[in-house]
Amino acid sequence: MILEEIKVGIGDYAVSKAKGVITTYGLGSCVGITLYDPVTKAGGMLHALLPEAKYYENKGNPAKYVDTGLELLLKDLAKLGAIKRRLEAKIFGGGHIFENVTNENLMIGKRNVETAKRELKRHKIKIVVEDTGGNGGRTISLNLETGKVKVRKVSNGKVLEKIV
Amino acid sequence: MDYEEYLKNLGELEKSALLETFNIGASHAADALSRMINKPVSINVPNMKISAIKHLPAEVGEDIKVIVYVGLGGDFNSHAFFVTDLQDAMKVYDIMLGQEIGSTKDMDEMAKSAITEIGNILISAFANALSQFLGIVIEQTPPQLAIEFLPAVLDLAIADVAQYCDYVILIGTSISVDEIEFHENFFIVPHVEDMKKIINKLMEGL
Repeated sequence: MILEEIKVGIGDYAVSKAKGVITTYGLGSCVGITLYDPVTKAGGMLHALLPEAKYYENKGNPAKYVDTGLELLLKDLAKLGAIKRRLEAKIFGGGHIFENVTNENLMIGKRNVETAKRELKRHKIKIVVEDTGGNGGRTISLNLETGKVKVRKVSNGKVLEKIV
Repeated sequence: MDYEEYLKNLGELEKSALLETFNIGASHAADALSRMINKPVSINVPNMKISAIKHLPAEVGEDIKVIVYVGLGGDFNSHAFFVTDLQDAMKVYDIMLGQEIGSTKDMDEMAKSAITEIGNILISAFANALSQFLGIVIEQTPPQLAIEFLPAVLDLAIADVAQYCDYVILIGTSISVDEIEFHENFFIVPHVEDMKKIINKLMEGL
């Protein structure tokens, strides 16, 4: 059976409920956050590019920042009936693909992950899975029926898949 | 200065002047590669696209690619990527070694280092041509190679320019080596500020 798929772009988010999957492709230094309420089966995904909006003077699309993007995601999840204290968060990405790239501006992955953890903590949302850092990219799909996330990584030119 | 407005309102004259400049770079890059592998190489007229960052994964595709990255600095801060399919990379390597196409079945360390060098030569020749033509200084980082999901690798460039703007400029090309068409692509993701300086310089010269 082919599941209905909602695609999340870069600096983008989506929510849905009970069926289908939400997918985002190629998280490098970007961070992907999935939130899922196992009771209502409402779930959502954020694909954020930069850590704090304030640091960049809130310029442009708010979904590209971890903190303001998370606010948007939470607001839309609440509309679908998700209860905040039941939400389970999973975070992915924040990798650093080229080890010789050491310009601080370009080492954004770590800061993205730190901000994601801090903001989730501030919202009192528990992180149940973390798969971050390293030198590889990740593609993630949230299954809205189960709340499970399929993670795909590349190793030696081949795709490795796991479900968390 | 609102870079987003600037990019969206870029005139046809500005765009074609820029495209012509990148074309000069591309033809130098083709010559350099041709000398290296001793086969005819051509790089077609680059196209230039201004894309919303949000839609970039859909735009560039989500496949696994062999990617060589060189960071450009000085008067033209930008990120340059040479992107090729796994199969095409192995074909180019075969052509380079003068062996039958299909001989290489795995991207081993030798093949990786050869493709890194090809990417480096293409990007360097491109950057040198640009710097001579425009009379500007362009610095280059050493090349690095990854075999990865393409959008994951472009992330570092996108995160860098997204600080200023929600749009990126993508310059794509296709390359033929020894009359075989490859799906190689250059992606140049420049800082809008430096891009604007270059356009101004070009327009002054007209």
